Amino acid sequence: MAFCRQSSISFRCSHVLLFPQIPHQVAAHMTETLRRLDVLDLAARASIAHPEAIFTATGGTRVSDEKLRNLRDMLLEQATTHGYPGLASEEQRGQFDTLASVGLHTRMQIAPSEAAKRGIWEFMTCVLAPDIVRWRFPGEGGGTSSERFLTGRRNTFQRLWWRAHVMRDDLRQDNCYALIALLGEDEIVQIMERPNLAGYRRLTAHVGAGLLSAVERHREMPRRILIREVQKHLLRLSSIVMFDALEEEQLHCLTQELYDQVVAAVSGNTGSST
Amino acid sequence: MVVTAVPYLRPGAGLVQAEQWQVLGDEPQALPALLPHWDYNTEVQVGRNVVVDIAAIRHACQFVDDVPLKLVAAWSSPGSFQRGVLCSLCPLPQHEQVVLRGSLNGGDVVSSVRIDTLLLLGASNIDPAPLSPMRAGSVLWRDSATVVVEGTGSRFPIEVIDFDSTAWAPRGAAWFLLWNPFDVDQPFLGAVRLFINASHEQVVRAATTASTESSTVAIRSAIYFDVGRALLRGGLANPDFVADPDGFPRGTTGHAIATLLRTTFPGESVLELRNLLKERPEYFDGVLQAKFNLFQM
Repeated sequence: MAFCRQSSISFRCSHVLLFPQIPHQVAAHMTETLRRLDVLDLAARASIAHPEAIFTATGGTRVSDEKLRNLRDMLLEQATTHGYPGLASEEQRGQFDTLASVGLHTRMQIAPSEAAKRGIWEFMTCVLAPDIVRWRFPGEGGGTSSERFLTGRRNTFQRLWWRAHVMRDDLRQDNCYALIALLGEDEIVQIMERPNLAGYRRLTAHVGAGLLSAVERHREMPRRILIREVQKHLLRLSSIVMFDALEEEQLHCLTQELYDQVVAAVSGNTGSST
Repeated sequence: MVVTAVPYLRPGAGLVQAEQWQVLGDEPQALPALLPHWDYNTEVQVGRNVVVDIAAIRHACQFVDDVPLKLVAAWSSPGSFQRGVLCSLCPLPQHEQVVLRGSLNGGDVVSSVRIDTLLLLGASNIDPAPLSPMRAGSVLWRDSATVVVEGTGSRFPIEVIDFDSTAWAPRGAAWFLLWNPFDVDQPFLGAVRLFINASHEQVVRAATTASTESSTVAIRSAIYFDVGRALLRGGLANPDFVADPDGFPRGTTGHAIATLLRTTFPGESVLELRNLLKERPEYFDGVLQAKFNLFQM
């Protein structure tokens, strides 16, 4: 009888923190007001607690007040370095996103299953740091879009935590979060807005690294086209190829092949089908 | 139902014999459909025995002898968007029982977890025969088991509360569907909730009992229509949903809306429905009345 080897990158929960969550109906009600207030008014309202906050019942330790204050202080410092409370440039906002992604992922110490609790992110945006939401996404005359406060792919902090989680490359000894800084916002969105593919973390690391390599080799090719088309190829392959079972070298070869195919197709050379 | 047409030869039925998944421990037992008492510290060891007729599979797929086969058990949880490999074995021993074994961890899983067992092409097939699988990782055979880890999962989430005692519910309303159309990736049971106003006795009765009185049936019909309309309108107004309605994992709000769309409008294009809603919203609502048999008792 043969036994298989266990191979899984999995979250081990010896020090899981539980964060406060607010009910969605409370967040939706609060957002109607918060989204139009001035940044500094919101800073005065920021708090580490809310009377309707709840916690996941079991499985970890409730985050301390001190840790919540430290988290807010970290975000505030990162924002201040990039223009807060004034209007920030696109470059400044992008740099804030990179720092905040890594900061949230390393400091919050939450399990993916806890991060999937939407009330946590609505607590972060509506209670802990509403001013930073308003600053990061000022919006047009009508205020910040509600989706930046409410849970979803565009929640200000939820999107940052998940991109750090998905794009963290555990095989990189020097900086496992390097990809977040090296990829542009559009490219990260291309990755994150395909949850069927984003769940394959090792594949995502290779897609990101592969893009950077392809851009070096094909400087004339727009990055957004490269990654968009490769993602389409991968989506088609995902129903017949098990990406998680591929070894690192196989993932590398697959992504390289797909980037080369895209370049050939876009350049008008003979392309091969997936 | 989505059917995938695979562009290569696959083995026929019976060439992979897999026993039921077991929860391992002092007294192994069959993996149940529901694992209660789940939290982030839960770790469940699971295992199953599998026998693979390698020679017959090589013949069916037209592989030469040195093309390796790989057997993998993988998990995925739509609630946490996470996935991973429980265990893998490559190459496979000829005519020998294989034991797949691994751990399901609470920190990774929300709402439910799916365990896929897959037989794969273990490496690229360099010189494939026509129609023979060639990509490393190509799926030759699979089966799936799903386990719910929180809640019972079958009924629409309904809660009766007094709307006058809250700041967020519309006072005087009979019911209020709370959900976020921007966030259709979330598990449906956690993300969608129908609140019934406790001060509306007839509505409470309609929503929480199986009464067949005509007034109760009519109210239930109105609730059903309103909820269905809200979900469909919300989905069709969400560009992420319209761009890929079949891309949402089972158990998510997006998947529930896609299923509702398919059963309500079988064979119709999501883009065309989106355009109809955008251009003639009042007509769209009228069509829904007919589709949901509003007040047809």
